[in-house]
Amino acid sequence: MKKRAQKGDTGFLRTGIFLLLLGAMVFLSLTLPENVFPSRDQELVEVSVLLGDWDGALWSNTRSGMDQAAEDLGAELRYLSPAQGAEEQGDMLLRELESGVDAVVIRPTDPAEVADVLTTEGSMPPVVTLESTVEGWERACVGTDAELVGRALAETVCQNHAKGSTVLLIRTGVEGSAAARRLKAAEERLVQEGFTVMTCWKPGGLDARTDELSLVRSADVLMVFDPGALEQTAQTLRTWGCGLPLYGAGSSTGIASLMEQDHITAIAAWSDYAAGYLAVERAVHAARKEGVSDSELQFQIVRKEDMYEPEIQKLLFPVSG
Amino acid sequence: MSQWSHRLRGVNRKMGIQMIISLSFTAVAVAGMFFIGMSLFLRFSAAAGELTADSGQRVLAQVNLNLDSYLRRMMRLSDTVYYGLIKNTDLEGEELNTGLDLLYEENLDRVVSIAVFDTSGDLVAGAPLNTLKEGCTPAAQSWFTAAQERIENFHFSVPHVQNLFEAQEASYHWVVSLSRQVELTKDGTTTDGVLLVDMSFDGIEQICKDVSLANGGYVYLIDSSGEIIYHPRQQLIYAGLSQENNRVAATYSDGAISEVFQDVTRQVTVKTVGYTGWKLVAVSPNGWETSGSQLLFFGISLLLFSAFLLAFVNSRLSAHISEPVRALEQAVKQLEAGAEEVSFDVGGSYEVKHLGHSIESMVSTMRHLMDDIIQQEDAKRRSELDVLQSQINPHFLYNTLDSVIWMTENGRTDEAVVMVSALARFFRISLSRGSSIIPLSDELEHARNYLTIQNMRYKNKFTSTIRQEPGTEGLYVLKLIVQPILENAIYYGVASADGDGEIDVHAFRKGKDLYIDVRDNGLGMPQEMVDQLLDEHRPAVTTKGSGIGLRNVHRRIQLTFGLDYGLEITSELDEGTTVRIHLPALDEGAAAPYRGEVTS
Repeated sequence: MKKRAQKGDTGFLRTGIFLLLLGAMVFLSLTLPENVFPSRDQELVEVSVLLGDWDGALWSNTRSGMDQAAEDLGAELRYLSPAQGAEEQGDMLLRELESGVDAVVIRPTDPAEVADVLTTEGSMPPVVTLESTVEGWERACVGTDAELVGRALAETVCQNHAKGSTVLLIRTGVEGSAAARRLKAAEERLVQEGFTVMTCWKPGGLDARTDELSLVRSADVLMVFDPGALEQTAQTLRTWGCGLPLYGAGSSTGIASLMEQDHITAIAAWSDYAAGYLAVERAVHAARKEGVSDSELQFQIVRKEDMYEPEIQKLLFPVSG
Repeated sequence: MSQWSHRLRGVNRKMGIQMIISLSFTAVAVAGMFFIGMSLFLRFSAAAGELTADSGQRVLAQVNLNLDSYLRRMMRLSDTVYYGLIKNTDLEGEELNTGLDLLYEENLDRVVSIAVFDTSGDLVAGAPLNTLKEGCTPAAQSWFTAAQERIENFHFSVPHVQNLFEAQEASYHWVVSLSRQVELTKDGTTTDGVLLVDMSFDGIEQICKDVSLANGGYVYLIDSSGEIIYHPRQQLIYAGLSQENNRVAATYSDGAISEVFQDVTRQVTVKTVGYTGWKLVAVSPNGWETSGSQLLFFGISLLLFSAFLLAFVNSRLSAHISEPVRALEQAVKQLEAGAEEVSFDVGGSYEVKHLGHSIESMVSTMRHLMDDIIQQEDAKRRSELDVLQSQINPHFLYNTLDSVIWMTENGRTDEAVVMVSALARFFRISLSRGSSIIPLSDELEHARNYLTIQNMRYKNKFTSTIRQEPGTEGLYVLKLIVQPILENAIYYGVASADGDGEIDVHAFRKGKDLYIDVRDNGLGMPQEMVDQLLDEHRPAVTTKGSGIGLRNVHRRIQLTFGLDYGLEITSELDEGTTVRIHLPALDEGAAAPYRGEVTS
């Protein structure tokens, strides 16, 4: 009798365990998909974008790319336009870092200044830089190989001009910036090829309002390594009616127009749209604790006669959509 | 296979009814749900595929309608310019610009420029601008050459940046060029020319842009060679950050097709746009990699939950069925253990209740049958007693009557009278109105009569004494228990012995027991014989000296009062034998049941 009762108890226990297991499996099957297939509706990432002393038209392609990335990846962008100067950019960066933003995209005016700010911050959101690195404090850097761009432009000059010509390099960026590195690489290459190289410090490029034509009289060729400065320099040359060959880095509708009007001889162009997209993409990934890496953009040397080639059109003039 | 079925049977045997019902019901239900679920899942996935294709085709039809309408409008504009303006204008004295300006103004929202070129690519007229860029060579551009090569057709270019007019501000428009061969009239002479309507890319973009398809699908537009005209991620593709399967899509015929691109299976629907040869391509990722798997997980969850629910319900249901059965089993066990009052009212279903009632009824019947058997056994026992009792009389009667005859023949009538009188009293007591329990005094009287008869038969060869101790008066004994012992004492004791025989009957009480000793001084017996005398298993021998009389008395006493009572024999060779009758000391009250039993 007792054995029978024990058998009955065992049966009840087995049924209980069976039901418990089934319940656990139901729970697991309901919770597993949440882990295996994470919801696409990820939390919105707040990204602050500091493009430096940017001009709306100059960086419109970059901004389009950033907006597209933000839409694709679920980010909210806050564009900040600091006043002129690296110090102001540093202050603004510090403020953003302390405001609890999820990530920062920055085009450093002065990489050293930015690095100083980052050094002082204990814990900070991921920082992605455009064009310039900040002594390794950035999570990723998106841009062209500055040295490669400088050398390619120098080689274009070498192809078009006789050895011994004097090339005036307009220095626009502080030490460590992409523009400064491009200039340095170009300078080395030109010297190597037997050109006479001169440099002058003009952070915004030549300005017809402040500069004199005499500044460039001794030069046979001008080179500018920053898009904003390039556009302003070309406009200045147009104002002066000076037909001095001008080579530069970067592209915009204004630069394309000036090139079409022969005020710029050739440019090293890359996709600002891609740069903007990749920068925000990396910032969002970094904010979501996903692995990110640097992205090196390809560039092309574009002359007036190549402007309407299908692939160059796509590079210089982004379509909407 | 047979091994499995054997194992299954083994497991089945070990499981209770509750477990069998729970498991089998749950297993069958879960299997059924699984098959139904899988069927529905497959059916659903097929239907979803069809729905996606159907949705893609419907969306494409609508987009195609809009695009067709847009292109027709552009072609109508081109026709208006050509047939309404160019054909009616002699360029020698008239100019086209005013008319072009008006038409441009009318179509400002969709058109970037309208221009007419002569056969060498020189601008004849244009709106809104009519100055070509320096160095611009329209004749070298693809829209111009296409119009000149196939003069009867409209030609639609792929999107490109317009490179024609000198603008005050730097402006670069993405346009789709509609070009055609036209005949220009100049001074009455017709020459070939090209009419160009540059459609704004935005116009096409607006048509295709806001189309949404299932699973994040989209629509893109390509020309016959696969060159992208519109794509929602066009700039990403141009920047090399995204890819599209446009070159392959250009080879597809109209209709739905499934393709794998970048490891993603997609449902692609293609529709060719009239006049242009362009293809609208609707792309809907199947989404089965995730949504299908999610659906599968959901299905599994549902299945498991149902199994859980079923198992629970089945467990309760089977418990409802099996618990009364188990209770019934317990009741039967109690019955087996000898319980008198066992309830078979265990509840449960009708069948189980019925089974309980049946068992109860069966138990009741069994009890009645057992009572009957007991009664029959009693009757049988009584019958046996009667037979044993009846075995005494014939011998004695025969011998006594033989003695009476012998006395009468020898003239010893007084003695014969005494013997017959003794015999009469003997039988009176023997009868005792049918009662098997009689007063001790009657039994001793009966013994006395018997001894009287036998003494006469054996010519006073022995003497006898009968003593009844005080305290034994009023006690009752089984009838005719002393006489067979006396018979043995006479026959095998004193009759065969030399010298005077003595027989002593002594009745006395010890506590609740009554003893009647019958002692003789006869030959006695060896112990082996003594041991055999009362042995029930000894073969029945009816020859003289078999002791059947003693055994009968012994059995009668034990049958009546139990195994604690009966005869005890002690004997010594040449010394004699004592037979002790051990009985319960029954007074009248105690004897009543025995007496009633017999009379009943």
